[in-house]
Amino acid sequence: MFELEKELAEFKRQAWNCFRCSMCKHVYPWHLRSEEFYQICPSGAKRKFDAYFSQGRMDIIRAYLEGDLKDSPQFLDIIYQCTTCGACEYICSRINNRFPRRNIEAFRAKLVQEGKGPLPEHKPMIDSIRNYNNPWLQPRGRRDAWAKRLKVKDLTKEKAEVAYFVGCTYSFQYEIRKVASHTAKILQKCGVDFGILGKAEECCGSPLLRIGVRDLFIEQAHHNIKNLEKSGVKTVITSCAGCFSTLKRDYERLGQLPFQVLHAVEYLDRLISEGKFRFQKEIKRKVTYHDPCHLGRCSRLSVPTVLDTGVYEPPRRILRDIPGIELIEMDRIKDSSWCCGAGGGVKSAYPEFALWSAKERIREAQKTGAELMVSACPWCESNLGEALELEGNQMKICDILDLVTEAI
Amino acid sequence: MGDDHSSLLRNLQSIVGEEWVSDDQAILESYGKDPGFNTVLRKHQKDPNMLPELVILPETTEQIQSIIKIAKDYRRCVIPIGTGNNQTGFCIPIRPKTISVDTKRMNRILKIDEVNMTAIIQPGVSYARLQQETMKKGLWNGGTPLAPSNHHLISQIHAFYGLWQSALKYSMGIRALVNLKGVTSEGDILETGSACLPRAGNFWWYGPGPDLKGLLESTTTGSIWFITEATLKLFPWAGGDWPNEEVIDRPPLPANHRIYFVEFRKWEDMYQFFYEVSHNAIGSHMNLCNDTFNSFNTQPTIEETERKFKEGYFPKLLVYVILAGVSSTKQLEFEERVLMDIVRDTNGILRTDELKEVLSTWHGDAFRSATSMRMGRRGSYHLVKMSELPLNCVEEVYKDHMSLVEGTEHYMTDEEIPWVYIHDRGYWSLNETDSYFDQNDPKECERTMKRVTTGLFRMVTDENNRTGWYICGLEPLTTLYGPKIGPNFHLLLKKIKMVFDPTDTMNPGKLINI
Repeated sequence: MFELEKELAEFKRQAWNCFRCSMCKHVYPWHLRSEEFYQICPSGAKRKFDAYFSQGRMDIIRAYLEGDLKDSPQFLDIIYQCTTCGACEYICSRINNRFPRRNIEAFRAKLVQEGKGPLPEHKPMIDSIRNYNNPWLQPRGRRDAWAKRLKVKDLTKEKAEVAYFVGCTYSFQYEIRKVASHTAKILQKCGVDFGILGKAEECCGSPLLRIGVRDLFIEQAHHNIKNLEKSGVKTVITSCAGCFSTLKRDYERLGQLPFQVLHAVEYLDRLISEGKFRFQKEIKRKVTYHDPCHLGRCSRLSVPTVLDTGVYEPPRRILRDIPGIELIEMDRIKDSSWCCGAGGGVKSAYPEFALWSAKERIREAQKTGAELMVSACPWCESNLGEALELEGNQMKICDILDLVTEAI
Repeated sequence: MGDDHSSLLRNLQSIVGEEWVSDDQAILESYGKDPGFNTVLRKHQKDPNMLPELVILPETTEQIQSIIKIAKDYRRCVIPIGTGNNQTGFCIPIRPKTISVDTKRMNRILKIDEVNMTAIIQPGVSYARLQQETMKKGLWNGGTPLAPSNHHLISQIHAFYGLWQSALKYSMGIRALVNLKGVTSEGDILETGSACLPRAGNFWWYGPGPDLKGLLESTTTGSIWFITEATLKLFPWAGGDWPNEEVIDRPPLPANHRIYFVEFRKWEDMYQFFYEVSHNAIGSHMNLCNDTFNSFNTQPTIEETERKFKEGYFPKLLVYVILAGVSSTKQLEFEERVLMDIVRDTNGILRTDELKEVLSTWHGDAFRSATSMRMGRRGSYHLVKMSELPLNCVEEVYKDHMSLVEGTEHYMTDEEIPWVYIHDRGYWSLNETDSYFDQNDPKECERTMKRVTTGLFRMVTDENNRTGWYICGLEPLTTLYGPKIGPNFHLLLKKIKMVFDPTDTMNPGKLINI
């Protein structure tokens, strides 16, 4: 359930009891691989004042909730420069059983309720979702344009075992739309009985939830849950990391879902281990893998345990399985991965900061000697891709499913 | 804010750039609270002096020099901030017109000298970062405190003397500090020890005149200068690259190390064990880790922690020992044989096989602490007694210590076993008793404070108390000294502070008269 008052009361208690361990500021000590890449919070690393780390935000929000924060021109910047990447939450939930990322989302919802949030730069995206059910100002009718020649089942008309939830970015962003068709082709090759909601699919609502626009998020979520339920599928897969964590984790807060949510890499990994999928071609490349926040730590339901690890191994197993691929790890990986910078409404409100974060990641990726960055999230791919282009960098980025398609 | 605030702001901006100075209230809020219960009470009472007037982030020693000169001109005091993990009021302003100087931009390891086995670091460098780089070269700094190793090393050592889990072999962090560089309250840049002698090298804390390092280090009188660089002694590291692949809460032990857990039923058997291990010169780590702490440290949730504690899963007197094969595997085998003999002779019960898996957080924490802060999950207050004492008085001091907090509501037990660190092959240090309260509840906070304050004064004024001194969350009573140190010891400290910092510019002292 989304019960804002209850969440804020709990948040205030947590903020008072913040032990100031400062663990939220740096890579978890056991995971540190180099002294150079020790930062974990993009906004804190950039601005360096304590206020821009989770610990400082706790203090600020506590002061706000108690009416102590009188005059602060920087207040909204501090609150909205968090990419909600969950790096602090991984550590704080692990150490203190507290959830700063959830708290910041709840606090943004309060600001929206009070008319102080979100930021003006977020408005076009919100209007677009309200009017067109996608954040990209694209007509609804274009949503399934990518699938035209692929003979994919329409779940509003036909039955299938599995639903492929495509997501807005893969549906509408031309540069990376191929990931949707690649996913469909892979599923077809494996003989999976799947379909899509087509024009009935709507934005999962992730961008809304992250910036505090909860009412519209809940509308979007109910719509998608109803349609997926109506289709009768028991499994929903998505190739978008943002949709994945939203469907898996955030939709659960509205009630138990009648279907299981998997990311495409988890599903593919399962097919490979069952012998239902095999790579045919060799791809001789040195690659490094960028863990999307929403596929990993943000998809976790509770405190980190061996039973709830986030999706880290399936993409790595797939990459290692592709003949000729040499996977070289960056210093910050898995739960200690560095955010690309695009999440939490930051890309629309603070594009320069989003690119700064991406460039930090690229710098780290280049140290591995890899020629290609691989990821599994359209936001990461777009933001890192833009940063690479701006730098005139020789390194490239692609989605893992692009590589998989190349290898079949 | 005073009339001269705008001119002060402009002057400071001209030193570090506009981006790195702020007087925005939201920014200031994050420098005005810590979990010490007096600080929390002041926060509940909305004490305006807790917020600094400005926060500034310098990048160089010279910038700090300029900041201090300006602070003096404008009659402001300066509080340095390290990681931001101040728990006992060290870094919380007590006066209006305070400038908080955050050292996060001074974050470089300036040099690792493999030949002389030293490293020069800035104040924003953490234990973990220094370890990571030195371990790649077969060296390390010798330890980690039982506080997160992402903490900035210089400030942490100065706050708590760098009491390491590996102090059995490597002594305490304060002894690994070879030389210091910093800025005095007059705005002079000062270097201590051999580093200040031309061509002498940077390896030894004695230079011309008295031992300046000894005089200038530690925060017990409030700061008397601002440290901007430190040279640290490094030691040979047997463990190779840090084994950073971890199954959650089950980190591997670094290579060439072995860990053992030994239970004792009697205190005197345990002292004997400490004595024998120390005097036979084996092992790198040896510490008593109590049942409360083991329950906290190893369990992912507070519910699991409580369950483990209530079912008595961990023995009360459980010691862990780590052996390090620095020279060879044969060394490990030899030390293991000696250790087993000592376990047998001291009636120890070897519990390694049963407990190794569940206690494997120590594999990481003993070298690079991470999970230790789990003890803060319920909001806690710490009373830390730092006394360098012989081994045979652990129980006695423990009992004294428990009487101090008598009547205080303990979170899980009335009989909390202290933490004991063995250092320098034959002494022990640190006895921490934690009390837990909800910081959100000012009444609970006040009750706890009253009880502990009463006990503390009783303890410190007791002539028979063997305890050296206390650090506790009673800001402005940051440090208290027992009567045997000398009845006027605090006055001497105040005089030292006055000589070095006559205008009380540098982190005003929080010392009280007993």
